[in-house]
Amino acid sequence: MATTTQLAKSTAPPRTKPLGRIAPLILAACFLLDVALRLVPPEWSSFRAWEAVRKFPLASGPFTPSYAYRNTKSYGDLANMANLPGLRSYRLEIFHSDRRGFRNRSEPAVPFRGILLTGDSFAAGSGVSDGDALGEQLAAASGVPVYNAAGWALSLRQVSNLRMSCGLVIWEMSERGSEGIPLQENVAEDLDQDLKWRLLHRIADHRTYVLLYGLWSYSPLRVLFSRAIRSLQNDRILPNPERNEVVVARLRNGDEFLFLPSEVKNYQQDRPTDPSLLLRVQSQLAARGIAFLVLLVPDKYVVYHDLLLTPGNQPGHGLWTDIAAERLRSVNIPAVNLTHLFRTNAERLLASRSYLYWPDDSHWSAEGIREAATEIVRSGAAQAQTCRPAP
Amino acid sequence: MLFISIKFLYFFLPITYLVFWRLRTKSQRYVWLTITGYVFYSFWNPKFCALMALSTAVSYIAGLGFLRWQDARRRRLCLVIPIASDLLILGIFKYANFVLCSGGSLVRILDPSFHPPAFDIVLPVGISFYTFHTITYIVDSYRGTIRPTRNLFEFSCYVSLFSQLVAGPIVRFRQVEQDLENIDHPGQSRDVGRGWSFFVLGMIKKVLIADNIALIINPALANWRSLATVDAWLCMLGYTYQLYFDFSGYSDMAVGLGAMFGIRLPQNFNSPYKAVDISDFWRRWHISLSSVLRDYLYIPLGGSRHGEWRTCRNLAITMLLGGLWHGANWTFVAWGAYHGLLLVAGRYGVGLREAWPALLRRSATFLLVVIGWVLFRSESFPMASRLLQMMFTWNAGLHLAALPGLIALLALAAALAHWGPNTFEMKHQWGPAPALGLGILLVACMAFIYRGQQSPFLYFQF
Repeated sequence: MATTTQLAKSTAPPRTKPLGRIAPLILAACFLLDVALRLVPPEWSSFRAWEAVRKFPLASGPFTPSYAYRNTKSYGDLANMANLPGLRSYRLEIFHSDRRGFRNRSEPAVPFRGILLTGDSFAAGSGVSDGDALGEQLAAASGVPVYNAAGWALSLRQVSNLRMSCGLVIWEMSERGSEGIPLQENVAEDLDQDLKWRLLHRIADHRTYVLLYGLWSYSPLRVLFSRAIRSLQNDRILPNPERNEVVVARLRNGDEFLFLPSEVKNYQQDRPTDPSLLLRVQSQLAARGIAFLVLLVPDKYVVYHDLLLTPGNQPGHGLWTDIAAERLRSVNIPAVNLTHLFRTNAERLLASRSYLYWPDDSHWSAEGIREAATEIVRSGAAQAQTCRPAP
Repeated sequence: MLFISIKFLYFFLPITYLVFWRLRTKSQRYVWLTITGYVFYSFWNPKFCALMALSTAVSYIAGLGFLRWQDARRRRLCLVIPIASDLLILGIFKYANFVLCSGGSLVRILDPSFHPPAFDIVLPVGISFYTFHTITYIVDSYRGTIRPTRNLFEFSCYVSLFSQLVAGPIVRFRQVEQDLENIDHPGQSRDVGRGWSFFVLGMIKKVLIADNIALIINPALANWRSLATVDAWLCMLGYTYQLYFDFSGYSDMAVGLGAMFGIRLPQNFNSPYKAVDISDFWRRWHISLSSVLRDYLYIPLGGSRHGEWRTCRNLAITMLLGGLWHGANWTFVAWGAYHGLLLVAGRYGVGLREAWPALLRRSATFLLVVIGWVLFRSESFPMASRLLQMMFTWNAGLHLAALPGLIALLALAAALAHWGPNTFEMKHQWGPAPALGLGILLVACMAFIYRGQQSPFLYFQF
């Protein structure tokens, strides 16, 4: 009997799997998984708030409105860019947005009487929790209400939306974001300028457009697959092709710091600063009785250049923030330049391993933001432009 | 659009495939494959579709001419005009700047202040392949090897078939004529499963082996001046396998895609690194090109029919032009000349060589091929000479990143290339365990494709 079974087994056709079914099924499964994961909350796949909160800017601000994000293992953009897990500084990051899509934990009183903060990711706060972002630290330091309307561009629409008729608008201008000051009133202008998206933007309403764009442009499956591959790209199994996306340098105290290559290249290099746009903004605000202040934030490399173990010796035109501040003041635009304060304090804090910028991030830390808020208050701008109490 | 892109895998391929098998008539399928070929091509640059359409139209009309006219003079015109127009297109887009620069360099010897003009010409992707498709069609029609088609869409489907459009294999009309004629037969779907198998294996070769080798060696070769001896050897061995797995992977994917639509494309690689001599290598490497060069250049030049000297001359001319076909750079010409020289030298001492053990002959041939790839890979002669100098003189040091990974990849690639069966030798009937393994490898390929760091297929630039 056993012999018969064995014979039957040996003469039976081999059990083969047609790859013509398996391969298309795998591709279809990947496709469906990709689609399904796009509907999952973005915080599940993002390493910090910035990626998650910018996915659906459905209101007038750059962030998903009324959104709460919390991550206990958030880390810096530079460590992520260069795929250097060993140089990550993990931290808690809590991010809330208001219904307008800006980073505020509470809705402002309208008409708003206080300081409107606008600018890029430095002002909005990247890599820090709500309480450490510039808006809240400035409010605490000055005692004046601050509305954080920062995130992607110089937008004055909020001045109208908040019916401001007094107070101060602070335009935070980071050195690396200085090449061409953006003035955009609609966050959609900042999205992909591909033809299909421009067409969609014309025919669809803002909400549909942003939803479709967010679903299309951000693939959590890509993030997850990339993480898996990046874990192999560790310079042992596979080379890390992103290593050169950042500059790794050692400080005098032995700590490693990451910098953007563009910051190293631009060090002491002059860039055009045309104050005409800011003059226009200033006059528009002045007509409403609102004062205007520019906050110049230096590059991380500018702050830490002299504290490096082997600083690059680049002859140049001088520090750009100094040149920009001078140009702005010459046309009567008040400017607070943080460069020298930051350089002095960075040196003072070096021994205690306390930093004004995150070691693994291009942005400032809570400590740096505190210095900035204090400096704005010290300049007198915040208090001088305080609205008179409402009758 | 690459075969290994999300756009292709999720949108282009499923739509093309599902619509194709929904269509019933021959004409509908020709038209559909033509449209999809042009859509596929337009993802690079829609403007160049016109160039391909022009080449197609001229060759199609010439084919009609062959059907209509039997007198020698008119037939010759039908031969010369389309070939001249194809070569003109190829010459302008591929070789104009090369000729100007080379001529200018000669003038600069006499007048150092002379600066040769250079035109801003973009090389249309796949031009070397589809012009060869049309040229072989014209020549075969002239010779009477094939009967030209009266169906414009059958012909345009042959020229613009997306699977072999941009990097071959160089398919002759007679090789696919029967499948195109029977494109509406129900039995044409019998090879779909085999096609998927080829496609998946090709993707694995390209994405998992070739691209990862490239990831390691490309940064090192970009700094070729600083390579030490071991670095140079590892880089060139890496490139040897990268090129093979890249191009044969692409060819497998093309063959697989063809099979999914009922069109059997010819084998392009037959384990070339198992070759026992250089002429054997050329019977195994890029077979579609070497057979075209043989049938449309070497044999018309006289082949081996007119004595030793003429044979050697014909070999040298064929290989020089074969080298130049690969790219407008003198390093490709030198690579062609090198292989021409090896083929000529190979004609002598056959008896002595055959006395060698097979392993020794294979190893010697492989070594000669690797040395040839130095010329092929180098962007300039200083780079080639520096690499060769590093390979054959001792310079201590080892600077390559991810060395364990590279060695593992090279060992795997070597085992597959030297001892494994090639895709055409496989049965493509997978048991549950191998099918599961291939499925896992396909998912790994998708992970790399999502990551988005694949390099374009090396033969796209030609």
